[in-house]
Amino acid sequence: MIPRRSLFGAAGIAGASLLAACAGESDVDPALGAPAGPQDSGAITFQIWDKAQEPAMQQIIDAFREQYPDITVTMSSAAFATYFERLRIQATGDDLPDVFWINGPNFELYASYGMLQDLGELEGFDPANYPLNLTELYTYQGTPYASPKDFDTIALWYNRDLLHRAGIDEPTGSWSWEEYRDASAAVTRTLGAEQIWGNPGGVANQAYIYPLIMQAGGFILDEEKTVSGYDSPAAIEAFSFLDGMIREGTAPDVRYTTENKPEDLFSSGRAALYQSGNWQAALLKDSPVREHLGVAPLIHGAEEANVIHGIGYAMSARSRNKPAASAFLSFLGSEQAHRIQGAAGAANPAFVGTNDAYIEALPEFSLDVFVDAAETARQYPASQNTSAWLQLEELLFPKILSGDGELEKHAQDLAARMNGVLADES
Amino acid sequence: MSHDTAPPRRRRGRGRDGYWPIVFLAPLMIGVVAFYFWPILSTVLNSFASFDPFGGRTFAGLENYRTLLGDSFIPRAVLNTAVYTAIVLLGIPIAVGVASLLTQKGLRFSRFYQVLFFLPAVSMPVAVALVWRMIFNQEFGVVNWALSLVGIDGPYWVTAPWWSLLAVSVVGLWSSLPLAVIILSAGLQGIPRELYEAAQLDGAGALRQFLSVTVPLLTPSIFFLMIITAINGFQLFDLLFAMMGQANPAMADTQSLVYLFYSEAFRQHDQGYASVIALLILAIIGVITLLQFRVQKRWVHYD
Repeated sequence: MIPRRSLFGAAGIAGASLLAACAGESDVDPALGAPAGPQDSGAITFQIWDKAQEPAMQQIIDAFREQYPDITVTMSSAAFATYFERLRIQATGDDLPDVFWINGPNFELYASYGMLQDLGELEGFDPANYPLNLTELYTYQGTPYASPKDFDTIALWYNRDLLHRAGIDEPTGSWSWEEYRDASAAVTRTLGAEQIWGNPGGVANQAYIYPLIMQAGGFILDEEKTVSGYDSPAAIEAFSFLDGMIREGTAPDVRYTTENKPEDLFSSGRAALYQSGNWQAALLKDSPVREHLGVAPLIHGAEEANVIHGIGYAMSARSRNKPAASAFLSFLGSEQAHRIQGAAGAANPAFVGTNDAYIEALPEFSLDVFVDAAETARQYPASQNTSAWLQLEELLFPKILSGDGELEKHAQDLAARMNGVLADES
Repeated sequence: MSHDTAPPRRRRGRGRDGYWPIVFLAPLMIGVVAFYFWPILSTVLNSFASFDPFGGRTFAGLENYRTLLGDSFIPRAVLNTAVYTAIVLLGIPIAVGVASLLTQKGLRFSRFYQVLFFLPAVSMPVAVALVWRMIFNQEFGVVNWALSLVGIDGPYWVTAPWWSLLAVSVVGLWSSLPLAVIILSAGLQGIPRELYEAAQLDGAGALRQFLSVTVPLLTPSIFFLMIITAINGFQLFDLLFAMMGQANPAMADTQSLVYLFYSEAFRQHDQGYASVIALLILAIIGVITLLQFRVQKRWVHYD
């Protein structure tokens, strides 16, 4: 027991450096070359992190193989929690899958270290086919390195039964911050005795804190990706708005939401208003309060702002079978493949104009609100070592909203630490 | 005359055995070098390096050590880890009591109790942590329900600073009991019956026997337990990680040293700085173990 634990640390580091020593500097041919033709044969690997999307991905592979019967695609899926740990080890050992999923927080890390194939020459790939912000998210120094797969934006989920009981009209358009706060307060006041909250609070970054800071006129990361925006007046304003609702008792405090997740409070009918993304549809369609749920556009502050994020399909720069991998990657980016994942209800497809099937899968949730939001949404903030400052957010967001009276001090601490991480990026 | 030739004979003896001893020891030595010496050496080397996320190293001099001195998370993590270790060490007296009850002569169902006390050791740490997280839940947990019966409004056990450390420590203490009980039971069974008989003849009662015979003769086992419990305590990670979860407002104030190591190595991708933290843990454990060996002469009775 003792050796196992003490080795955990040392062996991990030693293992990584051994791998590094083995990897060496292999020559990378940056050229993509011509894709394989329908008569060519070959075998490639494809790695994803979501078991729930495996059937849809398999349907896409099957459709691809109707055109390329001799190319074998071996799909593997790893749990999201360990996916990027595994990918980093694969990259260090020069063993990346030929084609794999990537996300915004990790994209630049891989692109800037030359791990991803430049897709500028990829046949049939046109960045204009996808929402502009998503294309930008997967562009590094002017070059596209991943093909957008799906996207999510943020909107206001609501429980019309709870709003009705508190005497509030359900939102039709976009509420202001004040309308959101007042409606939340009214629900908590009326139904608080039943342990029902106006909104379930929480510290969700992408769904709650990022858009509010942007709406207050602030930023998370500046354009040059060197400065954190968490100590700016706009950030303090957004944090204070959230903190204020917690202090008034309108929303539960962060200690409570650590034990009782906001999404669980909302999906069990214990909260009336919940600002979150379209990824919640999968959870909420099985919720006991499903019939009461609706979706309205995101609330707005001084500025309109929403955040868009989505998965990308990337190809290893060191793929050993680039012709077959490019043929598969162009197919993944095609309208046909996006229609398949939409119809399977797997995710909101990124290819412009293919959302219908996904929206129609759950008509009562009016998922078109999320698609409309994509037009004006801002890019998900990410830098080279995003996971480093995401962890700082995870540590300090809850402290900022902990109600200990030192909101600004904790926000400055977060900004200072994040600036340190950004300064270390190459 | 023959004893004069003893040394040469020994030399001849080694020659006769040839290289066989080396051959038999080699698998072990290769393992020791590969899994103990090499990791330690490479951690020391890495502590002077700056890493890119894909393992590339450049020499960074004392940079990582300077970072350590300026890192405000470190002092709190040292304090948290020390408090945790101190509380877990309190489990040893409890284990002494439990072990002596379990090895009592004529105890019915003693096997059953032994299995019961050993259960925590064979349960998955993460599963254990999740169950305790529910037990400590502020709204629905058993602990606060029990407190409410006597009119106490229980705290947020796992999401408030200090309370969370206390909760994690209690679970750490609970899960360290089985091993301690096993080792102490073995120690108890090694105490000769005659000593108790002699003590009885001298008119010692049960308590006197316990204090004058049992405890002194158990001190070698207790000393061994203190060493390994302190080492385990300073390696607090999995319980903390699983019991506290993410987005926990108390986490910034409850981090342990190994937790900091984990976040530097695997979240921040800074293996150089993580190596420095690993060496700091090694140094602290080394000093504590050394101190315990120094002090043991005063209180540990061998025979």
